[in-house]
Amino acid sequence: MSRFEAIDAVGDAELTQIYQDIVTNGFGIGGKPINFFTAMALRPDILNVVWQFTKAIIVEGLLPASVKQMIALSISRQNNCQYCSVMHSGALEATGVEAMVVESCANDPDTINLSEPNRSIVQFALKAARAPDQVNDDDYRNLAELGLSDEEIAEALAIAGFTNFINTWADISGIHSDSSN
Amino acid sequence: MLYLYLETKFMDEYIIMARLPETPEPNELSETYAEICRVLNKDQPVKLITSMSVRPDLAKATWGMMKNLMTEGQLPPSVKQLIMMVISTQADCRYCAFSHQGALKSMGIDESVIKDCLDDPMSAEIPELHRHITQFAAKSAKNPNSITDDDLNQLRDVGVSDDELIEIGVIVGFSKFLNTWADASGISNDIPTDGLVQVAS
Repeated sequence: MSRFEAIDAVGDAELTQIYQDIVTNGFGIGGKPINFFTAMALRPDILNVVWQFTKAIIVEGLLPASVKQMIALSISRQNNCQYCSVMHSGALEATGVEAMVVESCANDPDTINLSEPNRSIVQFALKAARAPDQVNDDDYRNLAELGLSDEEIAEALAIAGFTNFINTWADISGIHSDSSN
Repeated sequence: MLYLYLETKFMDEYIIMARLPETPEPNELSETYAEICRVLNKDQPVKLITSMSVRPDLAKATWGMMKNLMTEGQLPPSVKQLIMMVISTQADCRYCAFSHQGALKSMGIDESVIKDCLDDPMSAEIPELHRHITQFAAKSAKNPNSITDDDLNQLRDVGVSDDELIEIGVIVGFSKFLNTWADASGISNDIPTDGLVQVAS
């Protein structure tokens, strides 16, 4: 459910293909894409680019799925986005991390219980998302010293920006948790 | 505080350094770079994309969003630029504010209109529909938690379709991605601050 009409892909070849790709990649519930995507399906052109963008940043890439989800959950909580907090809490759990990791990302802005380098990556991404103009050369150096490559740092930054994007869309579109469909 | 960039130079005239190393001419991105120059009518691809060149996959996906949201779709390009300008200036993202203010000026939008849109969109000399859209974009970017059904219904009442509302919502969100990248990647740092004029608190 959202503030926009829920679009059924039946009979629409282009939309059916996008929906299938979304579901196949794990962003579906009950055979349909999660509300985040169906809420924008009135505009298949936009849904298509948003899905390609999501795939590049969240599905593919170099950082482990668990680290991507730690970043997304921590930022969504700090941005106070209810839908994304629920979704990324579930997604992080599903990667098989200990309950303490989920708890730390959800409730501790300093994520002190995360082990390195994950804690530093999450703190970097939180700073980038919440106060991007405060990020400095030392923040990059710190991650490099922990063994992160430039390619991985770029990905952490992209996930930070992406989480700001999804939090904003979730709040504007007024999507409800998928379990309430 | 909101600032107006009175610089008349083009972005290409500044040396802008990102914190991530830039691959001069990555083969994987040559087609993307050519497309950016063609679509945006520029001599060089935009720094926002070249600053991602250590990760061609991310650069391509980001350009896909930019191309669709900024140059295609249903809303007039000037309205899209207006939305992004107000959000970026409000977020004090120097790279994006400079770029979008410049894009509006090159579309022939008067500097006083840009200033009014920052100060109070409802007082700006633009179509009433665009005033409402700009005001909504500024509010939803600053405080997305505060958006209610009423905010969307107000736009519907003045004639914004749901197709357009979705476009607006996704542009607002994507602007925040761009602001985050531009500032945290370091490309905002090289935008000159001399000649800045404060237009609103």
